[in-house]
Amino acid sequence: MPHITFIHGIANKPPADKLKKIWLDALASDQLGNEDGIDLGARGVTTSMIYWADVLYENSENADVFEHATDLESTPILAQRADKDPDMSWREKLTGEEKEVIDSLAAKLSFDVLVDDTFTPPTSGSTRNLERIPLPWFIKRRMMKWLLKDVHHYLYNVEFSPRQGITYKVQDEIRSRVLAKLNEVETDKHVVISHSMGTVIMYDCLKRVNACPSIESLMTVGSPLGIDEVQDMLQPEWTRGNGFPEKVENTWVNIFDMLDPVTGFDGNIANDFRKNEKEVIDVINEQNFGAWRHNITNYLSEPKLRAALLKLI
Amino acid sequence: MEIDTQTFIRNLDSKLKIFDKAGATALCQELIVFLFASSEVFPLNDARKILQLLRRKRMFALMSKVADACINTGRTSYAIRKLYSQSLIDTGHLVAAKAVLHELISDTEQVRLNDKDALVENIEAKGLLGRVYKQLYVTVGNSNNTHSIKSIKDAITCYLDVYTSDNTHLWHGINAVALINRAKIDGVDVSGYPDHHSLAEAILLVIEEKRLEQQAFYWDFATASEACIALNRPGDALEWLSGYARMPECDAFELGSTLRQFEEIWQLGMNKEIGNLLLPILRAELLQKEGGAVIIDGEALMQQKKNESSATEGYKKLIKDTSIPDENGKRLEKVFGDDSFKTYKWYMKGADRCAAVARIGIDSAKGFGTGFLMRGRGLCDALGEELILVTNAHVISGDPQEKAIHPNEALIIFEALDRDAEFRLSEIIWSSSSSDLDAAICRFSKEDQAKLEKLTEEKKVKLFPAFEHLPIVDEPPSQRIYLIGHPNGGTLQLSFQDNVLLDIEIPFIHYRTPTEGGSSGSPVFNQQWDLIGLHHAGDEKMPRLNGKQGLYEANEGIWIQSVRQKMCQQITI
Repeated sequence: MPHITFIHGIANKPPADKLKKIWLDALASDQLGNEDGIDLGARGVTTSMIYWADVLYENSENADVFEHATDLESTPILAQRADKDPDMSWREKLTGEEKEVIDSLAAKLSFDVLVDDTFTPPTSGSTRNLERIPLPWFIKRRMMKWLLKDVHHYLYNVEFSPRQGITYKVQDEIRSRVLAKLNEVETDKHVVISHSMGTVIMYDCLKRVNACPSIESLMTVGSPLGIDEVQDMLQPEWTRGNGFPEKVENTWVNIFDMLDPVTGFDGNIANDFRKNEKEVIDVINEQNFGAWRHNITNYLSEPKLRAALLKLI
Repeated sequence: MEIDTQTFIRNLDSKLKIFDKAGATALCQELIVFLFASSEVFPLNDARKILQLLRRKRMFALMSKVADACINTGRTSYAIRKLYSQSLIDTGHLVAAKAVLHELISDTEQVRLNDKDALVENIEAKGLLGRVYKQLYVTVGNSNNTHSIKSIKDAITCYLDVYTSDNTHLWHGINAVALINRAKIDGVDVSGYPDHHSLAEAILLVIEEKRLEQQAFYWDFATASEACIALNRPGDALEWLSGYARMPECDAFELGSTLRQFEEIWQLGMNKEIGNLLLPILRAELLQKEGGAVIIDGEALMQQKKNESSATEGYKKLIKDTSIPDENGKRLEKVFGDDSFKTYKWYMKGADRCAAVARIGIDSAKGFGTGFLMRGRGLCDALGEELILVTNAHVISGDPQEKAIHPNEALIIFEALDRDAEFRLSEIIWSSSSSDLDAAICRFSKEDQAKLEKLTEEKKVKLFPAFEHLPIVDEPPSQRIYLIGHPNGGTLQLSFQDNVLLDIEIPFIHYRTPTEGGSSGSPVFNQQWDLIGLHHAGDEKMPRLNGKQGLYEANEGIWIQSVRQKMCQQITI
């Protein structure tokens, strides 16, 4: 019987069981009318969710606001949530190489132009791409803040206190959660579906943590792994010629949308994560729908992703 | 013996959630023994909660026994007496219910001005008395009968008296509207009553105001939907209904009551525009709720299918985005949203499955079991495109020990395809005895095979293949299992039932239904309407699976792949 482990992406999330149900419902639903819903439970596929939002966020989201495209695109709802912008003062304390890498990543994500509320976007480079996403700038800015903070705190193993009385070494804590969940799985037919920052975490564990168990297949969705600065932070284990994790025994499928800003508008990662110099990742360019192209529930509704998943299970 | 009421309520709730009727009954029997044996104080609020839990799962007979024990041992309140009367109504003891209600009304009448509880229950009791008369009218179903006319008039008076004395009692008001409308249609003189349209408009106005002030409860939405039926505003009725079904408090019990009200009192049918719009959505929402069951006439199913494309287009035009907030920044609640539309599409997929479901009997007057149509290759490649009938060996068999219908005697009718067309079998291709896989795979006579081919093609019947996978057990969210069949060998009607999946040990699938067990030979589906099994038995004392000790109440189906596997091994064509 196959098992799928999910790992979520950037930003705060609803509680783990609710989040898992949102993912399962998204896969099972017929959002686009293609009659291709995949009801994993009905197919005998067991599932689990690696949940790490509580390592970086104080309380879980009460609602599933950021998992549904319709909600996410509803600017009045987001506007009411102005208090949810993450504190970015940690950037001021960075020095040396760490600062250089994060500044470079921020530039790649157009973060520094986005923080300016009065900013009028120019018509060149990735900023132009960002402009093509029909979301208000303040929402795009918030998304990029989450990404920058989550990536940094994880990859630099920052000591972080999400709530009173609790302090985590972010990477240590999340890695141990990943390993615990992966080790619970007994079947050999084990597929991991990761989204966004979850793809970075999963890659990190599979490639850089010796104790991490092997999985049969990996699906990365809306991944920032194609961004040079992210790859730099995964060195020395990552190399372009041999970046494919040996612990993925079978297939790695990467799904991206050209207008997903979290992918850095470059989701074709096959050349960056080769296996013995060969490009082996099955890269799928999926034209996602909605204004926020990074949305996981939209990705999970798409036909190419579903067809690829059926092959994996 | 002592009973900790909080623990008791938790245990009862958990048993009722998985439709463990035997477990719930045993618990309540213990409680009844305790109530009679002990003189300890029993918290009356907890007694009320227990009765409410039983009511919600429609266990009225048990509810009646518990309430009886409470009242007889002095653990009583106005609310408990009201719940007792409700259990009497729902078990058909209308005379007894009337007596209890009259006494309750009389007792509360005297003190209601100084006692808030008495006031609440007085109003409720008057409404329930109206329900008794309403039920009498529906049961007799003859408007020319003097008793019948008296019943509907008494019912209207009960409801109207409460509503006119205080127009915030909308439940009473809307029932008066429904009954005045019904009386008018049935030719009963309603000249002494107010105009039901004006009443409906007034009720709708109050609910609109409550909604704007975020004070409307889920039952207000159902009431508003009924008011819109009275005012012949189908689109609005649909929006309120959809909002009602979306609310978490609205469960299968609530939706089932609404469906009965729509069908029995408003007489909505698929032959009317408003019924066409509302009934499929209501049935769909009901079936999707935990423990939902829908019984539908074969003809209504055909009508529903015939209207599907126009209904789909109609619904699409009415869909609004439920996430868009209103002018106050609140989510829209009264709206026909994409979620309701998806539920409808899911239900119609299930309704499509009915077309291939057959009633099996020896004559057209009574069914003996259920069967379903498949392409032969769905079970065994060697059978190719031939249409075959799948049922239990204890339904059709040539072996006298099975006490089944002989294949030569069996009469097959597909109610949702053509209820006048009768089909005969020529032979059993393969079977496995009732003590093994309890399956009979039957061949139609040559002439009827051709007739069936033509009929299924004309009606565009989608025959379901045997699904390869079994659902997961013991991992939330719990999996649902659906059965379609002819309950109690009934004719004309098909029942869809939602079941909770209990356990699987190949070839057996165990599930539990909130209502009566499924019909022998019914197809068993997963929650996506994929065929996974053949229903064959139900027992209050079924041995558990996977080496677990003990017996439990369960239905048992046989995995369709087990049938396929064994048949392929044994069959010689």
